[in-house]
Amino acid sequence: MFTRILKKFKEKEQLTQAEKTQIFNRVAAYWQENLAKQQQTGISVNLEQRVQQEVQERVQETFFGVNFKQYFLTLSVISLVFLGVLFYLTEPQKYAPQYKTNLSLLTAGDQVTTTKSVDFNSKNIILDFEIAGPVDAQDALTKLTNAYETAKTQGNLMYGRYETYAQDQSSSTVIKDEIELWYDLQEKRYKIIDIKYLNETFSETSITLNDGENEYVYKSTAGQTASQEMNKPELSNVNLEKVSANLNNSEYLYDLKDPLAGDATLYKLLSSTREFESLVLVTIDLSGQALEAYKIAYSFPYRVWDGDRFNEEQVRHVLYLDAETLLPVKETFEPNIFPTKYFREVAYLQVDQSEKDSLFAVSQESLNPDQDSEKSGESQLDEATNSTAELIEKTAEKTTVAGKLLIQNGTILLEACDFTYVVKGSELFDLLHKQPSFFAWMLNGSNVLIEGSLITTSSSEREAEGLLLELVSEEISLSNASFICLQSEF
Amino acid sequence: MDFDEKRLVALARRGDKKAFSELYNHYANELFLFLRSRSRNREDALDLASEVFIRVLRYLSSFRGDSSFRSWLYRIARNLLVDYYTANARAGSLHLEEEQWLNIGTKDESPADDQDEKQHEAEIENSQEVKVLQGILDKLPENYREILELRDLMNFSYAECAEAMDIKEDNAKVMHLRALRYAKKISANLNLGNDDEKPAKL
Repeated sequence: MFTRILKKFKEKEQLTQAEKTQIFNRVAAYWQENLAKQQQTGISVNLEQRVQQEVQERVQETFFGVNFKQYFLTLSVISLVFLGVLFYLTEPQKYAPQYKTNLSLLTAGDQVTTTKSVDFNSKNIILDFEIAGPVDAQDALTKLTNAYETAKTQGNLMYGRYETYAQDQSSSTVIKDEIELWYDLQEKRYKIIDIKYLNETFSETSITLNDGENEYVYKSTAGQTASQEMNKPELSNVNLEKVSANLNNSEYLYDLKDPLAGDATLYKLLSSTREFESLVLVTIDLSGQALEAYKIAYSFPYRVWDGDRFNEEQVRHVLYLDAETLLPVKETFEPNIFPTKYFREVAYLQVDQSEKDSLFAVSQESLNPDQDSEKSGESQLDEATNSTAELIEKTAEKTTVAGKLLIQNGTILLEACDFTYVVKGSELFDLLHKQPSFFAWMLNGSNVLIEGSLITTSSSEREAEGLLLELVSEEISLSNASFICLQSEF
Repeated sequence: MDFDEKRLVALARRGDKKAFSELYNHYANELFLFLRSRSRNREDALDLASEVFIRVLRYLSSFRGDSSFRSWLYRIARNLLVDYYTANARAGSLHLEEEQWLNIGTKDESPADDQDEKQHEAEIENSQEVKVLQGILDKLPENYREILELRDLMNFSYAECAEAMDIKEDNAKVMHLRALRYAKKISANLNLGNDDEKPAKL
């Protein structure tokens, strides 16, 4: 019965046409009123066109509910990222960030080694360098091999290019040859890529090579042996031979044969990096013969591809220079596992213990303005001078040797100090590195700081005292630091 | 020509009169029947229908199309009815007076036999259909009433009913069946006063 009632209700109560029109007219009236308001506010649009456009846009953008525009955009981004990663993985050395550093290679027997750059960025470590000197190709190859071993790193391969300039005695011309090779650091063997006997002769009066800092001039003069003219440092013939090598310790010993003016080697060292650690006098036992030598070390970063990613490590290069000739007699390469790059603890390891004790006994005179503020600068100097007198007696030879070193406008001057102050103190050294401007001032002031040792060319004692006072007035904390004021023997 | 509701709504939103009139023609009658079943008289239902479509015009721009246009229309109508009841209650003129209902729904004598029963039904059917229907709907639980209105007056599909009532489609089917059965019982027992049966819980 309910269904019939419902049916009858729907039949009887449905809208008549008149009622339908009546309702619509009311709605239309509202519509007109509303439209008039819109027109008054300046809204005038082609409605049909806009709707058609919207429908078309929707049809274009979506297909079976999928927004292809968005889909392809996302797909493109993902593809680009994927390709980027793929390129990086396949050619990491090409796309990895570049890292270059200067590495001074002290190669046995090379007169001058000019290191251009070392790219530790790739799996194959590329060492591109030139050795300029009057050497023939065969000699260069031998020396290059030595150079690679010297520059032992943990990479796999190194690339080397060797340019040689030989003097043809008969024709008085300079001959240029080139050697290219790969050196396998793991298996310690090299593969010669190419030896170019260019036989490129230079009959001009001179050939000039310039590595940016030094200028090497090879002169070719008929009837005379070619000579070199260099601005600095001066070269001399030398021939070092490796006498022993402990590859496990990365330790190399060199036999000194012909002395070389030490400034060349030292200049090379000091100009290669400003982050050298120490220059201390040590006694090393070389083939059963004690030898006084300077120990200098510096750290440099390198990156090694371990098959998965690049690891950046610090390598510490320690070099021992003969105290007399300043020739390298021993060098080591070791991982720098210490957090600070100015680690210097090992500097005195090989110093004779009694010598070390005496050195420290004097140098431990503390200059601590914080703790002893009543002391004036002069009294501190007096005290230090007294202490220094003791030191001179005990370590005169060492300290005067140290006093020989001077950098003036980037040039090493030897034995140029009329009056030498040596300031020791680990904190001072660190602070100076934290304050590069101050460090620069010291350099400009013709002073050099090596392992906390300040050597100045102050011409008078008064001037030197003034410098020390100035140091103190810089408010550099000298706590736990000592300074030694001594007069050079020169 | 097929009735493309989405396109018509889109056009109407842009102010297309023709599209709006198509929508109106399509939904006006069923909306009116729904409103009529809940209003006091035909004039009120006409006013309500007008107001519903005016509101449609007013708020069409905010219609996002998440539900069907029919469901949206129904929600507007229900909201309007709430206002309508509130206004009438305040004025003391309920759309269906209890007395009216009693006059319609009760008879002093029960039908003695089938012949009498048919005659009784005919009398009811021939009386004011609206009031009879309203009386039956009023006796129904709210969910039964709603689904009967949606399905049988507004011509909702089961899916639309389910969406409007926030239930599953299968439940909508079952509920509609039970509501029909319940309404039939009420209509059969109009003169018996036996309306204690309550719908089973869904």
